[in-house]
Amino acid sequence: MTFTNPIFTVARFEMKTLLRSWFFRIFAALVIIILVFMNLLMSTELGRTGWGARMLAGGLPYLNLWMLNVAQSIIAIFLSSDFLSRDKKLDTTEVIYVRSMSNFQYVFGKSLGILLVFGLLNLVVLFFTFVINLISPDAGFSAITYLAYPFIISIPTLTFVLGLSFLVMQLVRNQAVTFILLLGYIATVLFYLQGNHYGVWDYLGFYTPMAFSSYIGFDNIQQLFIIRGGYFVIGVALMLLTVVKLPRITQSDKGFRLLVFAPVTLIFVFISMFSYHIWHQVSIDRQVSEMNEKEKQLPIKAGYQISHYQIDITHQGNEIKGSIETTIKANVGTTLPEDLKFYLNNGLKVNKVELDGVALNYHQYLNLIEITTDKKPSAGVNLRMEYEGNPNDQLAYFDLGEEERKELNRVDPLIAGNKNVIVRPNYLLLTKESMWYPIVAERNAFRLPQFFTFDLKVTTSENLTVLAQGDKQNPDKGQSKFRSLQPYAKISVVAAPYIQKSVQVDSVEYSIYLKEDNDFIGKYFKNLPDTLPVLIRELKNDYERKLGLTYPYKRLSIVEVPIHFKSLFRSWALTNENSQPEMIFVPESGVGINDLNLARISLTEERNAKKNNEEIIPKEKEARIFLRVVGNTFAQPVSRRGYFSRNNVGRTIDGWSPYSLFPLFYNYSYAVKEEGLPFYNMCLESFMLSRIHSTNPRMGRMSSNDKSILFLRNHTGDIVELTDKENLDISIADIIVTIGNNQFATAQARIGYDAFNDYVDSLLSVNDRIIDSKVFNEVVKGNSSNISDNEVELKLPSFIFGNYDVYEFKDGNRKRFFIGLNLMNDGEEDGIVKVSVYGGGRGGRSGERRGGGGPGGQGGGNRGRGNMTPTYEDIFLVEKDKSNRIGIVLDKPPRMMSVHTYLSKNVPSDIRFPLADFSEAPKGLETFMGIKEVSEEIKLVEDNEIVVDNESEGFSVVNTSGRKTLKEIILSSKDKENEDDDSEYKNLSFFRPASRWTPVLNSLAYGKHVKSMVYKKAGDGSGKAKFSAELKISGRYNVYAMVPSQRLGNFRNQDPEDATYSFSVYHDDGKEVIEVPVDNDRSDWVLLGEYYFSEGEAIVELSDQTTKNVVIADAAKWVKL
Amino acid sequence: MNISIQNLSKVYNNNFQALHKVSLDIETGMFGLLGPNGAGKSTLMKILVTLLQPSGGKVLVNGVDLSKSRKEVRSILGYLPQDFRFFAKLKTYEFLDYAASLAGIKSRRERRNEIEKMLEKVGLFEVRNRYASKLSGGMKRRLGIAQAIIGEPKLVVVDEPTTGLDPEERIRFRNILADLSQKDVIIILSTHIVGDISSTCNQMALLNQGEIGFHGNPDEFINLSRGKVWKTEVGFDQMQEFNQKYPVISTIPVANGYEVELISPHNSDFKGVQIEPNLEHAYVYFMEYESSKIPQ
Repeated sequence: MTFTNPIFTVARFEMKTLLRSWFFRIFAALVIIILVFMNLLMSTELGRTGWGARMLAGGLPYLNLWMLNVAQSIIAIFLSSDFLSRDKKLDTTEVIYVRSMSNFQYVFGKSLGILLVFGLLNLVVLFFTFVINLISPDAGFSAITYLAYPFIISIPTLTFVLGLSFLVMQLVRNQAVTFILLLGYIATVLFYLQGNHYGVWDYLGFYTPMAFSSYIGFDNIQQLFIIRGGYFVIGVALMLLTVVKLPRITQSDKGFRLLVFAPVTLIFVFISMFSYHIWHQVSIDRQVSEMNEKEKQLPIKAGYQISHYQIDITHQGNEIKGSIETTIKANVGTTLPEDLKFYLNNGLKVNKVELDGVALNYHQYLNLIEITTDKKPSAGVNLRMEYEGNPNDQLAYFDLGEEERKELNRVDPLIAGNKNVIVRPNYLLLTKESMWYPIVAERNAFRLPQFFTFDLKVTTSENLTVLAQGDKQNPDKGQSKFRSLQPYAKISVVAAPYIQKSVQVDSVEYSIYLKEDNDFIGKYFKNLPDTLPVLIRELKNDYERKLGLTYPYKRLSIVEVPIHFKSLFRSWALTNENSQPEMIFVPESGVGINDLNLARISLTEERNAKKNNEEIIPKEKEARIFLRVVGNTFAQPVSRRGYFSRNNVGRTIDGWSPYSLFPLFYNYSYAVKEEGLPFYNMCLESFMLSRIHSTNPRMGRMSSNDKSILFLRNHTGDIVELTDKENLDISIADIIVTIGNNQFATAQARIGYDAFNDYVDSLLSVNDRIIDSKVFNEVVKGNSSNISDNEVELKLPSFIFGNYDVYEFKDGNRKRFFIGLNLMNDGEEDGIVKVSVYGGGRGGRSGERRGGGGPGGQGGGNRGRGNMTPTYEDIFLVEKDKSNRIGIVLDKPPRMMSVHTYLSKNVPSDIRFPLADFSEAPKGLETFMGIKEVSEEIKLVEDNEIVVDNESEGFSVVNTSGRKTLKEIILSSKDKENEDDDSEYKNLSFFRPASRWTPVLNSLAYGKHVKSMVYKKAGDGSGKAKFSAELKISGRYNVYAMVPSQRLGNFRNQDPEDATYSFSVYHDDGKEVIEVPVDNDRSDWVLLGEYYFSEGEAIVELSDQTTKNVVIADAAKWVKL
Repeated sequence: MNISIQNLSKVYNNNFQALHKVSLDIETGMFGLLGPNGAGKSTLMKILVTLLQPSGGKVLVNGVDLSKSRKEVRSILGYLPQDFRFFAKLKTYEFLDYAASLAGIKSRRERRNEIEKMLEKVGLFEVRNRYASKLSGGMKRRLGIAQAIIGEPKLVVVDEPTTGLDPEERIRFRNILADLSQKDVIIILSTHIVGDISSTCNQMALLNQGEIGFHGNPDEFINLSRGKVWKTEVGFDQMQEFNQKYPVISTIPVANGYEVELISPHNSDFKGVQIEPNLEHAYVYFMEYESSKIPQ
C-alpha cells in the first residue's frame, strides 16, 4: 500500500459522491448557465459585445473565474461542512475508518476529492470560456492566463475555504451554524473588508489586481504570491488541523505527533508572509506620509527653474541608467539659493552630482535630492547628475489622499495594477509623475506646467520602438535621439514592441502605436485611408474653432500602454499622465474606453443604419465609427461615469476624461505666471474648457458651486492653509474655481461676452506661453472677492426671484416668444446671473457662438448625462439693491430656463424655471433683449403675510418614535453614513429615501436665498414636521402650505394618483386635519382653510403618513384677512 | 492467528464502565460473543477494530499490541458494524470497490474479479448497479459482510449481524460466515441471538455487564446447564407463580394447563422430566443462576 493510494481512493469516491449530489449538480448547472449567458451577451455578437475588457489578454478567463470563485466558495463551504456531518451521520463511515490509512490520508483524500470536483467545474468554465474566446470578436487571448488563473484565483480560495470550513465544522459541530458563520465571513470580506489593509482579507481574490498585460504580464507578482500563496498555505494548515481534530483514532501515534508540527509550521509561514507584506506596505505608507510632510514644507515657488535638459538614459533589464545635464536659472532679477532641491524618483540612486564641472555633496532622501552649492550667488548654473536604478511607484502621488492613491484600477469590473512607471526588459514607460528626471522641488511642481527645452538620448534594446516628445533624430540601432524645437511642459519616454500606423495631414503626423501582434483597430478602418485626412482635418478645424487655439505640435500619437498603467488627476489642473505633449496614452486594447470597443460600435452603427433604413457603404460606416471614437474619446473632456466611480460633481476629478485632447491644446502650452496658488491658471483653464464643454447641474446632487458656497458660509481663513487641510467636503481647488468663474463671468457681464472672449484670445495668441497674471487683474477687477489676498471672507450678492412669464407675440408676421424674469439683488455686493434657455431657436442675438459640447461624433458624446446645449445663454450684471427685469426674445417655443447665480448667497445656485404654458401677449407688452431696472420692489412675502420656511426658527421636526424595526436600524445606519459627509444638506435620494427628516437643496423648493426643504420616507404618522409662527395680531387668517409638485419624489411614477399629505392646523377652536391632494405639476401654495387665531403661537403640522413614497416639508403661510 | 485480550477496560466520559478487566484468548475460527443488550459487546468490538481507545488493558493480535500497531491490524481487518443502513450515494458495486481499494487491492482487474466473486457469493450480483441505500435490509447486511470480508482479511469482526433478519436471510448469512471460517481467519461474531452461535462457533464467550461470564467452547457452555432443564405440566392457576419463580423457556397450552420448559437447579417444587439442554437453555441458566456469582 503506497502513501498516495488511499488518498486517491478516498478522493475518487468522494468525487463520485459529490458529483451525484443534487445540491452540487443544481449549483453547477446554474453557475454554468448564468456564466454562459453572461458571456454570450457580453462578449459575442449574439449580445452586443458590450464588454470591452474581453479584448484584454486573459480578460475572459479572469472574469469567468473571478465570478465563479465567489459562487464556488459558497458552495464549497456547504459541501465541505457536509462531508464531516455526513461522516458523523453515516454508520457506514465506520467501515471506512477501520481501513488501514492515516487520518492525514483520509482528510486529504476527501479534500482532494472536493477540489477535483471543483477543478472539473473550473475546467468546464474554462472550456466554454475558451470557446467564447474563439468566437468573441477581438477577444484577447493568452494561453498562460488559462493556466495561471486557476492557480491564483480558484485553488487558493478553495483550499482556504475548505480548510476553514472543515475546522469550523469540527469546532462547532453543526453544519447549519458552520454554514451561516462562514457565509457571514464571506459577506464581511466581500462587502465590508474588501481590499482594505493591503488586501490581506481578500481570500476571494475579489479585490486583488490580477489582470494580465500582454506587455508586462501580471503587475504585482510579489503581492499575488504572498496573498494568494498565503491563503493556500493557511488553507493547507487548516486542513492539517482538521486531520489533528478528526474523530478517528490515529493510524500511528508517532506520525501523528509529527503531524501536529506541520500546521504550526505552516501557520508560522503564513503569519510571516502576511506580516512581511503588511510591514512592507506600512513602511511604504509611512514614507508616503513623510514625503507628503516634506512637500508641505516646500515653498510654493522655488525661485528657480530648469530651462534646458540634456538627458541620456540607458534602459537595460529592470533598470535605467541616466546622465542628465540641466541648465538652472534663477527667477528674473534674483540669484540662486545655496540649497537646490529637486524631485527624483527614490528608486534611482544618484552616483554623482556636478555643478559647473565640480563634484558636489548631495543628500538623497525619498523622492527628494538636496544639493548644497556653496557657490557665489549667481543667476544660473549647469548641474550634472548621474543615477541608476529601478524607478518605483511606491511614492507616486504622495500629495494625494490615501483613498485616491489606493483606489483600485477597475477595468469594468476586473482589477488591474496601479503602475505609474514601468521598467521591464521589454517595456519602458517613464512620465513626469514618476520623476525620472530631476524636477525643481516646489509645491507648484505638479500643479502648474514649467516649460523647458531638451535633448534626449534613449538607449535600449533594438527590438523596441522608442517614443518621446520632440523631433526624433538619427534613429540608430537601439539608440534614439529627440530634440525639442519648442518648449515642453513634460517629457515622457515609452519603449515597446510597437507597430506604428500613421497619416500626415497638413503639418501634423497622426499615429497610433499598438502592440505589434495585436492591431485591434486597423481592420475596422480598411476602407478609410484616403478619406481619413479629410475627416481629421475637419475634426481638427472644428475643435480649434470652438476652442480658439491651434494644435501646437507636429505630432499627435495615440499610444497603447499596459493595462496596469494608472494615472490620477489633481484638482489643480484637469490633466493627468494619460495625456502628454504630442501623445495620449490609451490602455491596452482600448480597455476601459467605451468607444474603442470597436466591434460593438461597428455593430451599433450597422443597427442604427438598419433602423433608419439607410444603406451605408463600408467606407461611410467606418467614417462614422471614426468620428464617434474621436468625438467621444478624445474630443470630450468628460468621460462617462462607470458603475464604480464616486458621486462627485463639478470640478472634482473623476468625471474628467484622461484621454481628452484639451490639455495638449491648452495645459501643456500655456500658463499664467502667478506667485501663489495657481488661481488664474485654474480659472483660465475652466474658462477655456467651457468653450468645448458645458456643465449642467445634476438633479439631486449638489454642484461644486453649491458646495463652495456652503463651505464659505462656514469657513474663513487663509486659503493656503485650508489647502492642506484634509478631509474637507470639497477641494479648495473647487472653491477657487468657483470664485474664479465668478470673477470671469463678472468681467464678461461687464465688458460683454464677445469682447471678453476676444480679449482672452488675444492673450493666448501672443507668442509667449507664460501669461502675466497682472493682465488679468486689469480685466478682472473691482470685485471684493479677490482671491489674491488669499483670504476667503467674502461679501456676497443675493438674489430674489419675482414673477416670470412667457408670452407668445406677433413680431410683424412672425410668431415669437418673450420670456420676462423679475429679480432683485438684496445682497451686499453687485452680482451676476447666467440665464440659459433650452429649446427655442435663438432670437435676439444672431451669429454663431462658441461653447457647448465638443465636436461630438456620431451619436454624440454625452449620452446618459442629460447634457443639453442651451439655445440662449447670457450673463447679466445685477447691481445691489436694485430690482430688474430680464427679457429674452426667441423664435421658437422654449422649454426650460435655468438661472445660475454664481458666487452668491443663493443655493442651489442653479434654479430651473419650467416654461410650459405660453399665454397670449397682453396689449402693450414691452418685449426686449437684456436687462433693465424696474421700479417695483420684488417681495417674496407681503406685509400681511407670515411665512415659516424649513430654514426658519419656527420650524422643527419630530422623527419616528423610539420603537425601531430592523429595517429602520439599517436605514438609520445609512443616515449615519450620510451624516458623515459633513455638509449641512444631503443628496436627495428618492430611490433610497432617508428614514429621518433630512434637509436637501432643491431649486423647486420655497426659500428666499436658500431653496431647501426637508424630506423623509413616508411613515406611520409618528414623524412630524412643525411650522410654528408667532402671530402679532389676533384675527382670521388664511392658512397655506407649500405643497410640492406631484413629480417630486415620485420614484418611477409609482405613487398613487390620489395621494395626499396630512396637515394639521392648530387654531383657536381646536385642531383641524386637512388631507391635501398632491397632484399639482408645480410646487405651489395650497389653502388649508380660514381660521381664527389669537395673538401668539400658531402651528401647522405635517404628518409623515402618506401613500406617496416620501413626504416633503417646505413652508407654511398665514395671511391676515 | 490469535488474539489475546488482557484486562481490557473501558470507561466512557459519562463514567459508565462498559468493560471491566476483560481477558480473552481467541484462536483461529469463529468466535461467538454472546451477551444481553448493553453488556459491552459493541464496545469490545469497537476496541478490537480500532474505533475506540480502551481505558485500560491491552489487546495483542498475533502478539502485537493493537494500540501500537493499528496500521498492521487495520490492514488485516474486516468489520461490519451493528448499524449498517446509511450509505453515501454509491452503488453496490462501487461500495465494494471502495472497500476493496482501501483493503489494498490495487489492480483494477483483480479488484473486479474479487468484487464479482464476492457479489455472487453474497447473492448481490443482480443488484450490483443499484444504489446501496436502495437495497433491502437483508441485502444491505449481505453487502456489509461482503465489504468486510473482501480482500481476504485475517480478522473479521461482525457486530450483531443477524438482528432484524428473517430466518432465511439469517441462515444464508451464517453460511457465508461458516464458509469463511474454514480459512486461517478469526471471525468474531457478537450477538444476543443464541442460535447464531450454536450453529457456527467453535469458541465463545459470554459477556455480561462488562465482564466475561464464560469463556470456552459452546459444548462446555451447554454442559453448565446439564440436569437443570426440565419439562413439566402446570395448571392454569399455578402458571403465574411458576413464571415468577423460574425462568420459563417455553410454554405450550395443553388440556389442563400448559406444558412448560423451565430451568431450575432442582425439582423439589414440581414434577418434571429432565431434558437435554441446548445453548439457549445454557444461556438462560447462566444469566439467571451463574451471573450473580460474578463479583461486581
